Amino acid sequence: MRKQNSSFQTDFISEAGIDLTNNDYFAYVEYDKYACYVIADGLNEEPDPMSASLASQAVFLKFQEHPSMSRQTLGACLRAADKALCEAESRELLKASITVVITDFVNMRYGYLGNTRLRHYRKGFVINQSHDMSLANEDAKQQRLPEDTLAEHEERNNLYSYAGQGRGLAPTISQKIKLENGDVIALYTRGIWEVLEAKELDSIFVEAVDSPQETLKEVEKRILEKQPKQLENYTCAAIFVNKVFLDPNRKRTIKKIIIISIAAVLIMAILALAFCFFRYQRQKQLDELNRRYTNTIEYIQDSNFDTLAAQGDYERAEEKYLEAKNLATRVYFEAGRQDAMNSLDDLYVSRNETEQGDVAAAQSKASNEVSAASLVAEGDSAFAKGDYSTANVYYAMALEKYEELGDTAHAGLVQSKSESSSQKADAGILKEQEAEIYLQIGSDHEAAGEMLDAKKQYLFAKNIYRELQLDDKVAEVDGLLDLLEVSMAANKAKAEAESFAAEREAAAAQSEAAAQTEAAADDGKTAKNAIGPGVSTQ
Amino acid sequence: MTLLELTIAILFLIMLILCFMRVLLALPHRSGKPSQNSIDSFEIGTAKTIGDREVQEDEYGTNNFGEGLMVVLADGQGKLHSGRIASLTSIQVFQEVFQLREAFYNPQYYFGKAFRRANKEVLQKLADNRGTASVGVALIRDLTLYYAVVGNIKIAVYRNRELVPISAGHTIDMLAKQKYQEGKLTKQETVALLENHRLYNFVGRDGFRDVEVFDTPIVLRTGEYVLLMSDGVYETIRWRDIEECLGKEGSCQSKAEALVEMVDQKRQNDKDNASVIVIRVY
Repeated sequence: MRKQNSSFQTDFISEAGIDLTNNDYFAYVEYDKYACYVIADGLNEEPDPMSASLASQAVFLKFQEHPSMSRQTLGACLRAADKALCEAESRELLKASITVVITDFVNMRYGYLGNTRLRHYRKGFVINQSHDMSLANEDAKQQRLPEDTLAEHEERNNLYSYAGQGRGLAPTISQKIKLENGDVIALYTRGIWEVLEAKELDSIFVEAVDSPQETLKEVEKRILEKQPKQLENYTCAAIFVNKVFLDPNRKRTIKKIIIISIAAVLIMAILALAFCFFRYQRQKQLDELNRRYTNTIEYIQDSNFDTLAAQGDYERAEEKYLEAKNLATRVYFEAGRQDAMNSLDDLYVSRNETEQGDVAAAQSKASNEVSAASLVAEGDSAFAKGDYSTANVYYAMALEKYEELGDTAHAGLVQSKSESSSQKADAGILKEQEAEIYLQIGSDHEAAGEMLDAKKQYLFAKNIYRELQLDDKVAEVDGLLDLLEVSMAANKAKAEAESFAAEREAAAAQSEAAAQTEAAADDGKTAKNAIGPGVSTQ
Repeated sequence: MTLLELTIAILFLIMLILCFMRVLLALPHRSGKPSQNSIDSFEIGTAKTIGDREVQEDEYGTNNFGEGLMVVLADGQGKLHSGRIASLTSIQVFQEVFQLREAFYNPQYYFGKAFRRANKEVLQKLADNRGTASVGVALIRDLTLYYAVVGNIKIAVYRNRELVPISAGHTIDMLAKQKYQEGKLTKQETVALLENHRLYNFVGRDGFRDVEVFDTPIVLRTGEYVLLMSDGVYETIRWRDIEECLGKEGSCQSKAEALVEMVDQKRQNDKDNASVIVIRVY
């Protein structure tokens, strides 16, 4: 279908020139999807036209097997030509230059070996051309010495790459070239380019009209006009690209390609990202591992733990040892791990020892603390009771303990407490003395028979004692008061007996006595209120 | 002893010597003389084989002077031993002519002179039994090759793994080409004659004229080979085989022997005498 919907015109000229036989060869084949054009130039001197045709036929056979425009196919075709020439049964080694052009009626690709040339024209310009694979000596040409047979031969046939070479074959294969309407492709052999300069050839092809025949006739004319002394085999082929095949499904195909390529790119991108991510993770893990590893080494090589252990900072030391052990385990650093474990065991042992010591110390310390506190409590209770001297004692003991413990805060507290208790004690002592005086006065009164006064005094004293919380004194005073009561009651009975005699006198005396007692009681009360030294109610 | 008796004795002695020499010469020997003359600039190897023939009619000679080297190869043809005599005579003449030092400096003239003299002597010697010889001579001096050929001795130079023939030779096909280029033959006729390798010119012929002499002397490069071959070699074995053989490692002598061995190993009827001289220049 491609061939039918495009227009490619091909024509060629091929003559022997002065030589007896034409050792050049040109042929082409056009299939439905592809077309193949081959030009070959036999390089053998003997009248042997085999090499060019052998090479060309090999190319066509290869192309036929699998027609395509790929680089591989073109390479395979050229290598087939080379192989055919190498393996040919001939008297001498066959050599040939060859150029192959394959097109799919839209694009083209060419490959060549040797010095057969190709030129691609478009709108009057040469856009592609082949380059000879020859080791031509430019210097010798310029000297223009009368060249001997051998030098001539060498100059002509000095190719570093040709079909029939065998090993070291390196054909030149072009890129895929897009064809446009109006393109012209020219293929020609040495017979042409030896005689015609490139510029001349270009001028002919640039002015090319629709049919290739005209152009080729012009080429031949120019060559023969020059009348070269040695015109050897010359061949020139022209391919006129009048109409290139336009693919109607092109847009659809392009769309499909774009979609597929985008999808592919996305998948690739995702895969790449995932890969990178995993690599990153792994790298991180590796770094971590390395870091821990180096840390382990550092730890183990340091005597860090040991100093820590020595300092008694067992917590931290233990932590470090454990960490070291973990690191070592993770890194399979068996020796290190063992070291760490040993150190850890030692640590535990020493820690236990210290702990026990600590416990004992703590315990003693604790007991000390407890006793001091209890002493203070005792002192406080005594203070509260008014037993300042006891409190003082307690405080002193507690102070001692605190000083032993080194607890300055508590010691200070206790100190202040003992000071206040001493103050209070002093005050208490004064009070006690006052109470003693009251008692004394009271007993004086009692002796004087002034019972009520005595009672009064005793009551004063009792109050003070009660204030001072001297209970035994209070009990003592109560005893005294009871005695007083008894003596008062006795006196009263006596008085009653006397009062029968003098009832009126007794009654009057009783009432006087009752009124005195009341007044004494009142006075005692008021006197109680007005406590002070030497307040007597006489 | 009388004078007469003495003379007879001396003559008899000479005859014995000559007979001895004759016998020696008559022996067909395949391997070449180990003339590995590695004198400064040359290395030479030679070899020949009788093939399926009765007589070895190929001969060669070398002259190595300090200044240069001359080698000559002759392929004789004729009844009985006439071919042999023709080739031997030619060799001798060339060796004599190129005894002169000045001959080395004027090869063109002396080639012609030598050929003409050889022709004359051959004709003289073989008046009835017509024997002829193809002779090829190569003179190398200062890495330059001068050559001359009459007949079908091939001279070739091995350069860049390629054996390039230098001489055309006096065979019909070459003549036809020449005539065609002169315009005296049509292409068709020429092409028809291209398969004909018959000799049309040789030493020992009445009216001997053409000698193919070099136009331009060949400038050689160090390490290159110059080959002189009789048709027994290049007609029997493939050109590419010769090239392959020269491309291998080995001395000139070993290569010459290898080439001749290839000829011997080839299965062919009526193989001609084959001889080759391999020269390597340094």
